[in-house]
Amino acid sequence: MEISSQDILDQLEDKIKVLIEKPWKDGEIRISDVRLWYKQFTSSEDIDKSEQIQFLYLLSKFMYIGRKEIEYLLMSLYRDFVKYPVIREIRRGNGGTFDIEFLNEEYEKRLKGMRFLGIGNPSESGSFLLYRFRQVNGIPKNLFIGQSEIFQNEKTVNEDGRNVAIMSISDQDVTDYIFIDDLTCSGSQAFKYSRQTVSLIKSLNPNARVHYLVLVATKAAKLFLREKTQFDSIDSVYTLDETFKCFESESRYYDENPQYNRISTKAACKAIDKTLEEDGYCLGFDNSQLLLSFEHNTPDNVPPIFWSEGSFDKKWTPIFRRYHKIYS
Amino acid sequence: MNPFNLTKSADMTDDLIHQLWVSVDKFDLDSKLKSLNSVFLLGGKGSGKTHLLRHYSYQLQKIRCEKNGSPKLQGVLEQDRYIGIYYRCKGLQADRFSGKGYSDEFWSEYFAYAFELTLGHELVYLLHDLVDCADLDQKLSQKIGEILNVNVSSLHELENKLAGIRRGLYVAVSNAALGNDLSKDPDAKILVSRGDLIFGIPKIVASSDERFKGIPFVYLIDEIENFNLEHQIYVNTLIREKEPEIAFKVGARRYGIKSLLTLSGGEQLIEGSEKDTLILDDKYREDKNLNNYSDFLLRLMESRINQYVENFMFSDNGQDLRSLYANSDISWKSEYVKDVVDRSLKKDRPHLKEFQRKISKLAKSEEIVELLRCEQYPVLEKVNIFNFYRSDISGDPVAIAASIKEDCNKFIMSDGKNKNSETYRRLDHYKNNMVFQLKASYQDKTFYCGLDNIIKMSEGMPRNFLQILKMIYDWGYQLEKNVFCDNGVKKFDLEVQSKAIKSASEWFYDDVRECEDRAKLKASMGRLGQLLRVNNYSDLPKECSCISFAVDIKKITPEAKKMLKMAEDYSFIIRSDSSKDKNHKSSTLNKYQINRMLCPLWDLPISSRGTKQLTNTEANLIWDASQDSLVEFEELRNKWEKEMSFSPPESKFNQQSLL
Repeated sequence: MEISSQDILDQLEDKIKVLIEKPWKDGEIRISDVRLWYKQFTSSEDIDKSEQIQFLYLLSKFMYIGRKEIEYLLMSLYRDFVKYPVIREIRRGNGGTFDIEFLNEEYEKRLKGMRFLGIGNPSESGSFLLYRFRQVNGIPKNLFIGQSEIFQNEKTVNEDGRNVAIMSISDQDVTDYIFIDDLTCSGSQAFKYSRQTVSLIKSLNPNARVHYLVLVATKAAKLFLREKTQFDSIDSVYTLDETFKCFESESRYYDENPQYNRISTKAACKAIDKTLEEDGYCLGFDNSQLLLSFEHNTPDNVPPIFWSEGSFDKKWTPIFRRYHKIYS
Repeated sequence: MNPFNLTKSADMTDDLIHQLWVSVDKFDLDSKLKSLNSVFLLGGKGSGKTHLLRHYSYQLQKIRCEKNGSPKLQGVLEQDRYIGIYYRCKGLQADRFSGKGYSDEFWSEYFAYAFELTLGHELVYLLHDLVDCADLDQKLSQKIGEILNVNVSSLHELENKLAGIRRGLYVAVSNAALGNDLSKDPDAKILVSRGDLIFGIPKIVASSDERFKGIPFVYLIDEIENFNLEHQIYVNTLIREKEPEIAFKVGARRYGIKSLLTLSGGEQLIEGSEKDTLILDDKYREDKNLNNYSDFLLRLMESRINQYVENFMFSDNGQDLRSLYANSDISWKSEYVKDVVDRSLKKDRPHLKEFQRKISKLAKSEEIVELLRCEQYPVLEKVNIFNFYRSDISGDPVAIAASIKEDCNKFIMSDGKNKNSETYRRLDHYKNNMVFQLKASYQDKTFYCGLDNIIKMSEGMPRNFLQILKMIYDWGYQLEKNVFCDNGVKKFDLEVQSKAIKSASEWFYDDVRECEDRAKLKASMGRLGQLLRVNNYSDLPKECSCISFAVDIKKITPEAKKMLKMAEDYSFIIRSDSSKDKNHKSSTLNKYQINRMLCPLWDLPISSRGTKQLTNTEANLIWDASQDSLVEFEELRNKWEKEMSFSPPESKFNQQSLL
């Protein structure tokens, strides 16, 4: 039986329907939306020349992290990078004890010295995740603070007799500041906050430890942040290597199957992306080429063909919604 | 919520089984299932065995009494006049009664004991719920307790006691794997012998209360395919040795009965006297015009819609369920087919282009194409081409084309009523092939649609029907064309139905996980499907609308025979009446039809007309995996393709170069 372009489109639609009904169900997407999206690309009887097939194929590879998955990731984040390391430390310091009551008591004491914060300002996704982080892990509310609560201004009298404000740490008993985030791809945002906030914490309280915990991070971002920032630890539940860059030669999304053409699809994506967003976003911010979306937002590291609504001149129907940050 | 989501009775509560019940009166099942005759109720997966057996269970009898407002004892004994004890064989975990260093004979005793305790416990539980007076409760408990040598004063106490004894036995049996010696374990001491509880309890009940006299106790044993050979032989023995007021109704897949042997002198159960066999999906399919079956499925559909869809109007406003599912017009005048063809006019009508390519060596080939062209009625155009292929064109092909055109014109002039025309005859036989071929050449896959076709495709298995409706609902929702939830949508269109039916077909094909040889089975089915496709999509199909084949079962290899049987057991193919060997009239061949649920996998028609008689070699190449030589099968397929494709004769007259 000869396979036609329509057969391939049907097969891909069948696959995406399964994704929509199960792992992507929080996205409330229907196949009719998918059609609106892929019909914006050109079609062809030749499978490898049909943009519709090529981009629908990429969509079928998309990673969508829904509500439930985020909850499990947040549970893993707390369990594997906060609780277990502390328990391990306590056991090491106490002859490897298995005394569960003792361990729980000690952990509760240590927990009191921790503060959980979102990266960025309270309107950004890091902070948005904190509410669910607290819920799923059953952490007391008072351990969550905003960045402004890390520091306080103390009034002091200068030599010349004038009143001046000196910044100090609000709570000297805090041992660990734990910053939570959903994604770091280039590491630039965490780097920025590190320069502003982490350095200040370290200078005012050298004993405090500062951690950066993220649901999904690229390998490159983690290396960069470890090298360039003062975070004591940087961990993520998922680490994405170069194979997650969809159009690069190492891409995990393309194999020997000749009907899907990485190079021509990359060129087509570039060409369309350029008409939709500024140059810096071509193939995703900082050339990230990620195929990833969260229930709460789609990162700009994803090629704009998936999330952009286009420009004044060219309207575009995205498949995943992105809520832009508006920098004033 | 998708009203067709629940397709498995085993997943339903008793209340739901009651609410979704649709009577099967027209199939004469009621009398058989309530009678004192033991019945093997067989059927393909999803034919409705569990729903039927649960309907007759005490739990459902009780719900019906509650709904009717009659006291349950009165309802069960005076109206129903039987007591149904339902038991699903999955729960016994029969596998535990084997191995662990003990012989099969040894385990047979323990299995028999466990089975006795299990059904006994079910029965005591039921009686405890049913009996309405404390005196009778106490009397029954004491008498039944005597069988087990336990002292109890109520059925509730006895029920707990039985549960405890059974639990103890199971723990002891499980521990046998850890070296526990069962013969010395007090919990594994066998307290009753065969039939003491299963036959004994009904006898005690009947002798203790006049009202129970003559009331049959019907054991409804479901999914017996989960029992191994020895365990089934034990159940067969109970069936043979049953007491007069007791009946067994045993539910199993078509292939689920491993033996009819009994322990009574190694004799077999006798069909007709000791048991009757009822094959549910065969019973539904016996209804040749599908009137009763259609009616049954439509009511099934209605019950689901009533249950789950708010404000859906039925007959009050003349709403006909059939009208919700668009049908495809495949008549010679079909506007739909014309539209499909016209939509791709720019592509130069691929079927004509292909025809032109095939006759390019003939003189005046373009003239021939023009003569056969019939743009107004593409189906007739296709028939014209087919008629040309079937003609003897060694004479004057142009004259032949002209006569075909004339015949076609007469047919059109008579508005399709001219039965003497060749066009009429061809259309009558090959309409399906023509329309399928035409649609396929335009990439249109809307082959399967219309509620009556869906009913036909379900092949006597209600679950197939529900599964298709479920997927239509899902695809309708996905494409915003769902009559139940997208305002203004009046019908599920052809695309929604075709996509859903294809998905349902794949589901049916994959739903054979329990079949150990499924890879081989699917490979064989794949080969069969490919060959049938070759026939149906060729220029000169040997058989019209062919989804059936005949084979001489006596002359194929044992492996081929085994695979053929397996395909039948798993309802991939359906056996129909035997047919005569075309070459040796005295021989009779087994005739099978591919299950219509699978037709979409190879784009086959669902109307069955012709039957392809397979040679022994062909049958072996399809069904015998040991002969699974890809090369040989490829050769066979190529041979079929060549035999059934048109090629102009190589006579000098036709050589264009010589003109």
